[in-house]
Order: sequence, then C-alpha cells, then structure tokens
Amino acid sequence: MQNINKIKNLINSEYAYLMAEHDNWSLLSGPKNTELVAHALRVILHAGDVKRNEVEWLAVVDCQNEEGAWGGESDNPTSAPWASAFLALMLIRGNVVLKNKNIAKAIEKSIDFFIKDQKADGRWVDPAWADLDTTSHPVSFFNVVLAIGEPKWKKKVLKSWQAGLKFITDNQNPDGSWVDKDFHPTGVETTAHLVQDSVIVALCFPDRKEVAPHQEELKNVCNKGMEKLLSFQAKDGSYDSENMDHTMDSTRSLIIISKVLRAEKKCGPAIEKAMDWINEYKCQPAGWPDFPGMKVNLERTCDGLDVLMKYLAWREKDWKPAGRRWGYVTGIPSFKGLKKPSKKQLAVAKA
Amino acid sequence: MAAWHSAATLDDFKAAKSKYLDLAGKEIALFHIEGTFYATDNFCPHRGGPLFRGHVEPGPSVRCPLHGWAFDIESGKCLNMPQAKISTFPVEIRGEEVFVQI
Repeated sequence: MQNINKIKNLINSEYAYLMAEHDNWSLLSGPKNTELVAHALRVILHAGDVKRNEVEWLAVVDCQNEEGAWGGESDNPTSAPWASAFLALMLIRGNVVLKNKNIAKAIEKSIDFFIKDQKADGRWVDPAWADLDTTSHPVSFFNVVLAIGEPKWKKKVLKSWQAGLKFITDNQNPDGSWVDKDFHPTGVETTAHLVQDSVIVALCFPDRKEVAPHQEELKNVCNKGMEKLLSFQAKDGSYDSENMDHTMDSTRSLIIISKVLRAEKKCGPAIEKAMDWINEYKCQPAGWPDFPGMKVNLERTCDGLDVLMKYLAWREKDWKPAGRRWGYVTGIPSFKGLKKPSKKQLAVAKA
Repeated sequence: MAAWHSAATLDDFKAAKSKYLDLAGKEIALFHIEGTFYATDNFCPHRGGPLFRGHVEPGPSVRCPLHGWAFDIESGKCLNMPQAKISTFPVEIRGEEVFVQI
C-alpha cells in the first residue's frame, strides 16, 4: 500500500515542476496543443488552485472558435471534437469556482456545438481518433453538465447524452472490452476511457429517471469492463507493454469503477501494483515519460499528478471524493496540503 | 546532403525488434522485421508518440503506442490518417553493422 505522506510530498514537488514549466503548457505564453492545455488545467483544478489561475481559463475562452469548439492546436480554428470536449469539461468544472459569465457563455456555446455535431447513431467523429474514444469525451462532458450544470443545460443535453451512452454500451464486446480495429486493436486505452468517462457515471446518477430502469444493465457493462481491465494488467503492474499513458488511464479507471461499484478489495491489489510501477519509472528528479527510460513528457507529467491525486481520493472511505475528481459529484475538489511553489522552488524545479 | 551513419550492430537485434537512435541530430526508429531492417522518424506526427515502442503489424506497419496512428513502414504513409506521413530512411547492412542514410 502506498505511503500517503510520500504521495503528498511527491504531488507538491511535481506541482512545483509543472508550474516551473508554465510557458511550455500555458496559452498565455503563445499557441499550444489544446490537449496539453486541458491536461494541465485538470491538475490545477484537482490541486484546488483554480482561483489563482483564472487567467488560464479565460485564455481557453479566448481561443474558442465560432462553432463553440477548439482546434487541436490553439491557433488552428478547425474544430477538433476530442480536444474540445476535454477543454469544455475543464471550463464547466473550473467555473464552479470562478463563476465567470464569459466562461458560462463559452460552456453553453460548446454544448450547442456537441449537440449539433453528433451523428444519428449517437457517435461523435474526430478523424484523428477512434469513434468510440471520441464519443466518450462529449459524453463525459455531458455527464458533468448533468451532475453540476445549470438546469437549462441539463435539459438541453439529455437526449444527446443518452444517445452517446447507448452508442458506447451497444459497442461493448462480450468479453467486456471496447476495441477499435483502425486505431486501438488491443483495446486497453479505449476500455479504460470508456468505463471511466462514460459508463460508470450513469451509476453515479441512480435517481435520474432516464437511468433508473437501466441500472442493472449498466452495472453489468461496468463490471465486465472492470474485469477486462484487471485482465489486461501485466505481472509488473503496467499496461500495454509498459505504456505509461495507458497504465495511468487504466489505474484511474479502476479507481473510479472500484469506488462506485464498491469493489475496492477486488481492484486494490491491481491499483497498488500499478501505482508502484508508475512511481518506479518516473523520471528523476521530476516528471513522467511515455515509456521507462525516456525523457519527460509534460502531458504524461500532468497525468501522473492526476493519478496521484485520484489515488488519494480512492483511499478515502466514501466514494464521493473520488467522484468529485471526475466532476460527477457537486463540490470543489482540493488537495489539502498543497504548497504554493515559492520563486525559489520554481527555480529549483526548472533547473 | 544525405550521409550514411553507423546505427547499430546485428547483435543489437538478437533480443530486440526495434531500437531508438539519435543520428545526426534526428530521432530515428530502427526496426528489424522478418530479416529486413527499416528506419523511420521516431515521433508520430499526431502527439509525438515514440514509434520505436509501437506495435509492429503485418504489412509491415507500425502503430503509434499512444493513440493508434498506424504507418506503412516502407513508404511512411499513415494508414488511418491519409494526410499524415513520416519520413523513412534507406538502410544498408555492411558486415555486422547496420547503416542508415540521413
């Protein structure tokens, strides 16, 4: 079992490193890959440091295109649904703290974009991604709209959310995996994304009348997905041939599934083993690589911080702190004990 | 002007099927597939995934380990994103050594 104090210290040192790398991920220092920006904002959100970083959220609003989406690169206006859903998710979750009218307008614009962009069978399409994976992201955004959004938004997204969720559940394989033959034949990352981002949330809304009749069916989908994820894990704790990204995805997925399904005992050993592996193969002194022995990838470093904070939530008795780290539960996630990096720390982390 | 660079020895590929190389300031992935060597850019043009850690599939092609873009290993053409492409480089075996032209 991980040592909580060690994890907290690691979060503080890695957060200082991320802040020292500010110019490499922030829109304030020029055009950026929007997926990287969303990853960094998620860390700030989970660290409970949104207020101090409001300008980062406003910079996201500034590069939203006319349709209500974002390009894969912030200076390219061509709408990229996958990255757009991730950014919209960060806007709605950040605005719980910021309560900014311009951000609220941008969220609504984004909701309209995704409703309009959905295909007749419930899927969303982004040429750079598998359809299943792409679909999980707007569904994830709409999950959060339903959990914490304004009543008028909830009403707006309901049908589209249901259709997206149906597309996902209809495409699960009998063995519990989701596989895309063109992009993800192994199915590890797709299965991890779809369970945590899309399907598990339906169980977080047990009182919704649209969900209630399907509770058992959805629980079965999640259970099968969980079993498949457990079976994907290698003996050393990693996933997909020592792939850090997919190991982090699968670990986070098991964290939320096991919490909501109350399967902590069943998933605990796999989560601990994966956490050991993730910590063992991080870069020294800071950051995470894509594979052991490679140099730091900033996006993976954001994922690493996210996993650590989600793991802390997993160790709490109640499922809600974990649910809150996905935006599925009202309230503001925070990391008690976050030390705002001093100028000296930033300089050391940068060095 | 392109020049030949010593990249690896045949012994390097007794256990491994691919290798990462930093040659003449370029990051290269070198593959050994069914007796033939192939050299390509190491980074996927999508999000920079390391292709030397990719999955080699029939064709032969290599699939980026991060988000699944797949590339024909000889032509460099992306199979699921037709507008994308990676560079490929000539490879020669001289005795026990593998040379790549960059």
